[in-house]
Amino acid sequence: MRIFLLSFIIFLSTINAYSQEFKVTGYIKDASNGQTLPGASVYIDENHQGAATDVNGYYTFTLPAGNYHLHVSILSYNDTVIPIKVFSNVHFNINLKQTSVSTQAVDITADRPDKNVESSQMGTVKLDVKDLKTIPVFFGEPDILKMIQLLPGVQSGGDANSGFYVRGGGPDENLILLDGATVYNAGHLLGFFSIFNSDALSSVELIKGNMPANYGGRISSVLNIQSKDGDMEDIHASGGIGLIASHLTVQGPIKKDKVSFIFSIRRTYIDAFLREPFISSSSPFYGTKYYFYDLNGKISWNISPKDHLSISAYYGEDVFNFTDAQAGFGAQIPWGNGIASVNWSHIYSDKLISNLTLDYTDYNFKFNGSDAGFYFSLFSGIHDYHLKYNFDYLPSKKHHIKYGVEYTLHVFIPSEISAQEQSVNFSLNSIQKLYANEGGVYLTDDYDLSARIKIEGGLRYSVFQQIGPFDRYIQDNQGVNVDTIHYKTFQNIALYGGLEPRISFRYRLNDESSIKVGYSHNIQYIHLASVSSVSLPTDIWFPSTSLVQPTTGDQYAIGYYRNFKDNQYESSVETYYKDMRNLIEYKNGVTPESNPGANPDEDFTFGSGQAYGFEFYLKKKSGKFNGWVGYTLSWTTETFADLNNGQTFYAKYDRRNDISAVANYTLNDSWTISSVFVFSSGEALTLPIGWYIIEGELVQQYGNLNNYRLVPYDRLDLAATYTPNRQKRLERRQQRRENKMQKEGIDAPYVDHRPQWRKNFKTSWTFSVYNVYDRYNPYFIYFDISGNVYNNSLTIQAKQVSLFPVLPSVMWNFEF
Amino acid sequence: MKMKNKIKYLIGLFPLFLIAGCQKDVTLDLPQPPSQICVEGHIEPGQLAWVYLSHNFAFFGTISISSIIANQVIDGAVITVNDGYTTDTMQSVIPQLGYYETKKMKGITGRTYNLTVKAEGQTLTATTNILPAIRLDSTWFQTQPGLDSLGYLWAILHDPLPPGNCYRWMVKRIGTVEPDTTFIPPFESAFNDQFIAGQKFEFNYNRGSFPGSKAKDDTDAERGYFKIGETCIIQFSTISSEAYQFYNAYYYQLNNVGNPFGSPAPVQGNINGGLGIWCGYGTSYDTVYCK
Repeated sequence: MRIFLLSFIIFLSTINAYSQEFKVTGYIKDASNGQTLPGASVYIDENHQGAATDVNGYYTFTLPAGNYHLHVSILSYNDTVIPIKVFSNVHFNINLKQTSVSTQAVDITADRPDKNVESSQMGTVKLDVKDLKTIPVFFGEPDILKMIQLLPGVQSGGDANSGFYVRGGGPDENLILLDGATVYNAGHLLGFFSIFNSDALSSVELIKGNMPANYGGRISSVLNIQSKDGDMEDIHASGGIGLIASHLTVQGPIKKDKVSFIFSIRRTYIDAFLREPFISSSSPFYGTKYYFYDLNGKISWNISPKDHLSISAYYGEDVFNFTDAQAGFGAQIPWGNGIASVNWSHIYSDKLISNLTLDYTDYNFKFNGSDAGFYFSLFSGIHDYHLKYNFDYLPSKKHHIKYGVEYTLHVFIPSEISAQEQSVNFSLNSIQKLYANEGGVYLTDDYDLSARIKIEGGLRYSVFQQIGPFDRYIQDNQGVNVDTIHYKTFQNIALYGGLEPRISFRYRLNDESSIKVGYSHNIQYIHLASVSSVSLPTDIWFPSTSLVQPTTGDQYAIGYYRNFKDNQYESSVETYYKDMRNLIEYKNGVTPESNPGANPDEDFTFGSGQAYGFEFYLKKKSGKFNGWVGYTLSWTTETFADLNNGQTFYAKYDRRNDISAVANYTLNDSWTISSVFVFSSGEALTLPIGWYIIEGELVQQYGNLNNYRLVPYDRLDLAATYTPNRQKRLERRQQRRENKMQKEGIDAPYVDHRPQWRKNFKTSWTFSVYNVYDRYNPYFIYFDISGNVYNNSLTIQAKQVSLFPVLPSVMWNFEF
Repeated sequence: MKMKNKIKYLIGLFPLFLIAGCQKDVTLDLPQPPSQICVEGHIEPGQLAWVYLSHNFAFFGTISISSIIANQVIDGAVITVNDGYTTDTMQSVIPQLGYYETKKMKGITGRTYNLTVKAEGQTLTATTNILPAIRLDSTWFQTQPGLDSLGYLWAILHDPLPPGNCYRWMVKRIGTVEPDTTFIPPFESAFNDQFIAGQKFEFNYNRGSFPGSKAKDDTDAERGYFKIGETCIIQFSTISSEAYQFYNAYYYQLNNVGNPFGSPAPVQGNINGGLGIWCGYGTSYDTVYCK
C-alpha cells in the first residue's frame, strides 16, 4: 500500500512537472560584436510557436515542461537550432554568426518562415537594411524610402519626391518614426534622397494595413525605423564613396559589453559639380552652393541584465545658396531636422517588459532672400516634445498584451515672416505660433483563440487640444478685422478626441494558408497643407484648431495568404476600402499669404475621400535567384464642397495600376546582380483648359481638378555588386610575402603583424545603372508661351519635364 | 509689391538647375472649356461705372488680338447696376471692344453696387462696394541709381489699424509727348498690409504699360521708367479683400507661367455664373511732377 502510495505520489509529481509551464527568455545577439538583434525569428519546432525579438533583441516564450528545439533565424546570419530542456524557467542568450554578404539574397522580411500566414497583422513588412547595398538605387545611394515604394500598396510620389502614398493616402498620413521620434520631412533635395543614412539603421518596419493600437496620429501607415546600437566588443568602421555622396560610420565599445557608441555621417558634394567644367561661369547657376549632410549618433548602455538605456540623436540639413549678381538677387534656403531620443527598457519579470521613450523633434525650414536692398526672411517650423511609456505583458502563451500611454506637446510655427527694406522693418502681424497637446492611451492583445484562429484586438483613446497663447481674428465679409479673441497661455481653445478601435483576425486554413480580415479607425490631428502640386519644404504642417477638425479614416481589409514549397514562396492577395473624412486643402485660388490679417486656417476647405484597391504579392525568399513582384490596382477620389464645384474628383495620389518587380541573382561568391522594374499609371494633375482676358492680359482658365493624366511612369534599374573574396585575398597576400622571403633567403613562415583592423578590412563595389533604357518619365508639364497676342505671334507649346535620364554610378564600400 | 512674387520665383527657381536639360515638346488633348462670359468691371467715386464683356476661348488654337476682337467680345448685353437706391442700365460705348458704361450712375464711397449681366441666354451677378480711401502721406519722383533722367515714383503710406487693408496703384501720365489715355497699373499693383499693418513705410513702383503697347517708350530703354519732365497722376485706391485676392492670384499666375513648381493658379473672381471681377475702388489722387 505504501509502495503504491509512494508510486502514486511520484506519478502525480511527474504529471504536475509535465503539466507546469515555464518561461523561456533571453537575448539574440551578434556573436562577433555582442549587438542585440531585433526582429530575429525564434520558432519552436515542436509546437509551431514563434515570436520575433523586440527592439532590444529580447524574446520570451511560455512552454510546458519538455524538450524542444529553438530555431533562430534572421537574415544575414546563420540559421541556428538550439536544443533545450525546459523543466524550470530558463534564461539564455543565443549568439548568431554572420553569413557573408555575397551569398545572401535580398529579402524584405526577417521573421519566422511562415510569418505572413501565421500573423494576424495585415500589411506589415520588415526590411533588412543590410541588403540595401545590392538593390540598384539612385546614384548608388541606398535609400529606405525608395525601397518601401517597391511594395504593393505603396506608391512613389515621383522621381524627386520622398513622400510616399499608402493605399491612396497623402504623404502626411504616414507616421514616420526614428527611434520613436516623429520625422516631419523625410527628404533631402526635394526628395531625391531621404534623410535616413542606411549605415546607421538597424531595423525598418512598415505597417500599411490596419495599424495596431499602440500607434496613432496618422490614418494611413506607420514607418518605424530604429537606429543601430554600437558594437559592444570592438571598434569598427564602414563607409562608402560614391559619385555625389559619401558616408562613414564608426562604432565601438566605450566599456566592453556595457556601453557602446555609434556615429555616422553622410555628405553630398553636388556643389562640386555646379562650377566649371560642368556649368559655364556665365550661367546664372554657376557657383550655386548646394549640399546636404546627415549626422547620426547613439550611445547604448546595458545598465544591468534587466535595464537597457540608449540615447540617440539625428541632425541633418540642406544648404542652398543662390546668387545672381547681375539680376541683383539671392536666396538661401537652409532646412533640416533635429531629433533626440532617450529610450529605457526594463524587464520587470518574465511576463512584463516596459519601454519608456522621451524624444524631441525640431523641424525647420528657412528662406532668406534679397533683392536690390530688400531683405526677406521666412521661417516655418515644428517642435515636438514627446513621451511614450509602453508595456508588453505576456500572461500566458496565448496572450501578448501591450498597453501604454503617449503624450506630445506640439509647437507649430506655420510661417513667420520678417522683411526689411533699407531701414524699415516689417511686422509679423497675424503670423503666430500654435500650441497643442496630443495624447493617447491604448490596450491591445494578440490572442491565440485556437490553433486556427488568432485575433489582435485593440482600443486606443486619443485626445487633442489646441491651447493658448493665441489670437483668433474675426473678420467681416470684406476681410477686414473687426475683433480679436485673445487666448491666454494654456487656455483651452479646441478639444477633440475619440476612440480608435483596431481589430484583425486570422483564420488558418492549413499550414500553408490563411485568411485575414481587419478593421481600424484612426484619427489624425495634424495636417500638411500643400500649395504646390509637388511636395516642397514650403508645405505647411498645421494642427487641428477651432476651424480645422481632425481627419479620420476607417479602413477595412481582407486578404488571402499562401506559402509554397516549404515557405520558400510567399504570396498574398489583399483588398481594402478606406473612407476618409475632414481632409484639408487650400480654398480655390488662395495662397498662404493672400488673406491679410486673417488666421491661416481661414484659408482651408474640407472634404472627404475614398480609396479602394486590390494588392497582389508574390515573393521567392531564398536561393540563388530570388525577389518579388507586386501589383496594385486602386482608385482614390475626393469630394470638397468648395472645390471643383462640389463634384467628386480623382485625388493627386490616384494611380490606377502600379507594378514593382525586384529580382536578384547570385552568380558566385563574389558577384550578385539585381534589377528593379517599376510601372505606374500616370499621375493626375490640373491643367488649364482655356483663356479669358483681364486688363488686356491672357488669364488661364482651369477646368475640373485633376482633369489630366500624365503618361505612365516606368523604369528599369540594374546593379551588380562585386565583393572580393577576403579569404582568398589574405591567402594570396600570404603567398606573395612568403615567395618574397624565400627569394631573400629567409626560411621562416610569414607572420602577418598588421593591426587586426587591416586584416579585417573588407570592400565591395556596387555598379548600378538607374533608368537603363533612358525613359524620359514625366515629372511635370508646363506651357512655354512666347510671342505676343497683340502682334499675332503668340505660340503655346506644352513641355514635359523629366528629371533623370540614364544614370550610371559606382560606389566603393568598405568596412573593418 | 514686387517682393512676394520675387520670393515665389526664387523658390521655384531653386530646382531648375537640375531640370533645365530634360524637357521635350508634347501634344496634349485638353478638353474644350464650356462657353463662359468674362466680366471686367470697375466703379469709383465720382466716375461712371464701366464693364468689359468677353468670352473665354480654348487653350490651344489661333489666339490673336484680331480673332479675340472678332470672336470673343460681347456686344448687345443688358447690364444693370443697382446701388440700393436706383438702377442704371449700361450703354455700349465701344461695341468692338465690348465696353459698356453706366448712363448716369457714379460711384459713392460707402455704397454697395450689385451688377447684373444678361447676355447670350446667361445671367451673371456680382456685388462690390467702395471702401473709404486711404491717402498716401507723400509722393515724389526719384531717378534710379546710374540714370540721370529716368526713375520711379515713390510714396509713403501710413497704413491704419486694424490689419486687413488692401490697395491698388495705378498711374496716368499727362503733359507728355504721348500722354496715357487712362490709368495704367504696373505689374503687381495690388498689395495688402500683411507686412505693414499700422506702420509707416515707403515704397516705389515702376511704370506700367498696356499689354502689346508699341509706343516708343514702352519698347526701348525707357520701358518701365518715368522721365524727368513728365507729370503723373497717381491713383491710389483701397479695394476689398476679395478683389485683392483676385488680383494677387492674377499676378501670381502671370508671374508663374512656365514654373513647374507653381501650383495650378485659378484666379477666383466674384462673378456668379461667370469669370472675372467687379471691383469698387476707394480712390485718392496725387500729382507728381518729375524733376
